[in-house]
Amino acid sequence: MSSSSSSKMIELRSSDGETFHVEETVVLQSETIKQMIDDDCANAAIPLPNVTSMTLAKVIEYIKKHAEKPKDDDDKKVAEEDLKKFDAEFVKVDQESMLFDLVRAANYLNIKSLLDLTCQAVADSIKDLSVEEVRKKFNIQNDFTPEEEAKVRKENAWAFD
Amino acid sequence: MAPTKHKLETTKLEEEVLDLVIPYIHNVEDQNSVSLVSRKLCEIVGITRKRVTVHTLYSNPSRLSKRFPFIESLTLKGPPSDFIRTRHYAVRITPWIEQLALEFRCLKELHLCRLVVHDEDIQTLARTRGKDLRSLKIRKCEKFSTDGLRHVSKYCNKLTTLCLEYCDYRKVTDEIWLHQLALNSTVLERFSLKDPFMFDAKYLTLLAKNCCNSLISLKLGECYLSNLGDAFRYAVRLEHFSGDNWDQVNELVGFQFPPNMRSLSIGDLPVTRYSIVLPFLNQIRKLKLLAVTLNHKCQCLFFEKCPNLEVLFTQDVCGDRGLQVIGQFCKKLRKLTHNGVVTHVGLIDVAKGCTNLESLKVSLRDVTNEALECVGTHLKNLRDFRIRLGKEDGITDLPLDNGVRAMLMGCNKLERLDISLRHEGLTDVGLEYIGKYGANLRSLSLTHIGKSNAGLVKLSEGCPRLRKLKLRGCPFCEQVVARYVFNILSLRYVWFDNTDRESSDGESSDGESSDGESSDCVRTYLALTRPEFQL
Repeated sequence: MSSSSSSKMIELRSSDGETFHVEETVVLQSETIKQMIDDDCANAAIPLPNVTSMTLAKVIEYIKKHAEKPKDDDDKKVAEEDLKKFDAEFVKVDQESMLFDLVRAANYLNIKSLLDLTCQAVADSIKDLSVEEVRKKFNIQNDFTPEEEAKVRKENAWAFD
Repeated sequence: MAPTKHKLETTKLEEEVLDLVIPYIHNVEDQNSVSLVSRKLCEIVGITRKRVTVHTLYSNPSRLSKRFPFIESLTLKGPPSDFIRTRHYAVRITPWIEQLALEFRCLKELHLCRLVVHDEDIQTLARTRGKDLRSLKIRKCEKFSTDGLRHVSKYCNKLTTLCLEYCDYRKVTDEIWLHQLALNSTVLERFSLKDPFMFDAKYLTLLAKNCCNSLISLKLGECYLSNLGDAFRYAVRLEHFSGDNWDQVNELVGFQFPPNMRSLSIGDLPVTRYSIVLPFLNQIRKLKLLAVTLNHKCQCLFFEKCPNLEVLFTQDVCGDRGLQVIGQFCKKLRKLTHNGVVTHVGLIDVAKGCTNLESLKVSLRDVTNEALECVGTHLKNLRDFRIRLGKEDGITDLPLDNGVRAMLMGCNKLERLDISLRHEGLTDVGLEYIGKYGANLRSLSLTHIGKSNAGLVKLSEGCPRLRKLKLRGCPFCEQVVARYVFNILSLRYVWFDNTDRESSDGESSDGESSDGESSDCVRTYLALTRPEFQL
């Protein structure tokens, strides 16, 4: 149904004031922005107060890549492989905080595939961590009483798999 | 912005990320770690968790519904089989079913294992949750009857999986339940009835007819293959079959399996009728050929013709040569149970040939340290390793301490290890190695292992993930077992019996706890795990 004739550009503005121009067909992967366009709120630049320019640039890189359409069936297979590789590289970021920012941006912008990709990457990074290491990684205070903690610990060890 | 405020905000942001990530954590141990981070996360893990296995001896229904109110798949397990002989530990399912009837509205799968189940329990379950259930498995349970199963047939019509396996029925009255099941089912994909009673094949034919578009797996106990011809003609999508054949040779003339068979487990198929399995050997993934009443035979013919085999259970009589053939032809093998008798020669061949093995069970007449080293070098994915050394003399290379060390260092994913040796087969040093290098072991069974209590003490300093420990015929004293093994915090079940006898003299196992001073050395001793655990 989509027509390639008019590639309307949408303007996005990051929390730090930088603007990005993206094709409407690409940006529609974000349910949040799609809703804004449907509600006719996209005439001026769309403000994204929760997303920094650095994160937004990464998000745009992702949705652009995922908007590429393969020409035929042969091409489709190659494209699928290519996309898998892209995704694997995409979540290999230097700073863990960038990955966290991407999770939050994907959630805010409601881009399901990006949320799945980044959340899974964070989930994989938790693998085999101790409780204390998880607390440290996410900066969370332990608010269990010693008795409560002991109870959950025992249940986890003996009662529930 | 004040630094404290900034810090508070980042903390909130990081926590928000973790909240989003929790549904993507699938490994149970990781979920458990996260649930200990804070109260809120414990709650989030609880409400997002879809599958739980509960060890009923260590929990109760209200705790389950408090922690995991929205689970979709629930497995309730009673104590291990060894404990069940002692009535004291039998767990009745009734309070759990009553809770399920009131809560757990998302429940789609229920699996019961080693529990006491009455007909009334099945009735309550079927009436309240039956219409939503997609999978019901009742394995190794006791006390119910075919009358109870009628409620399953009546109410659980959306089941795609129904397994009734190895249960001890209070009584088997009639086949009305099976007839009703066949009439009411249209979407059943997996049906398993591995129980000690035969039934009229016409009901199975009806079931196969009504579920012809869905049925892919059929597992039976004793059966006449010749009576299943009609069922197989309807069940065109069938891929898995299991059953112990009772036919005479000539009754199988013209018999055919459906075309898509990928897994076959069959007892007492006469050699002269091997032709009925030959057409699909090339595509077969799982093969189990049992000789129940017939003599064991050479099965090398099958190994050579099954290049895609992933799971094999064999009673091949060719010993090391059979393993050599398996190593040469079955490159995709993941699980092997070999019930013949072999030596280190065959073990080395199969370890070098089938490097994808995740599970390996063999009985050995002779073994060397080198063979165990070879297992460690080649089988990097091994999770389950069980060896049993025969009692004959002439074993050349004992103790196996260094071999066991090399094996554990190589197979670092190993979760289950069963070693049955003869005295002096593994010394205290070997036990220390198991403790030190068995970091991922969940289940450990040792028979005739170790020289003294010191070995057990060393073992108990390691194995940080061990859940189940079985010690048979090992030279440890009760007090030392009771005092030290619980140093392993994860341990749930301990079985200890320091006699050389087979532990089947159940009358003496009265289930009293460890302070029974009358430690008659013949008595089978059961330690109920975690005496300090309180619900």
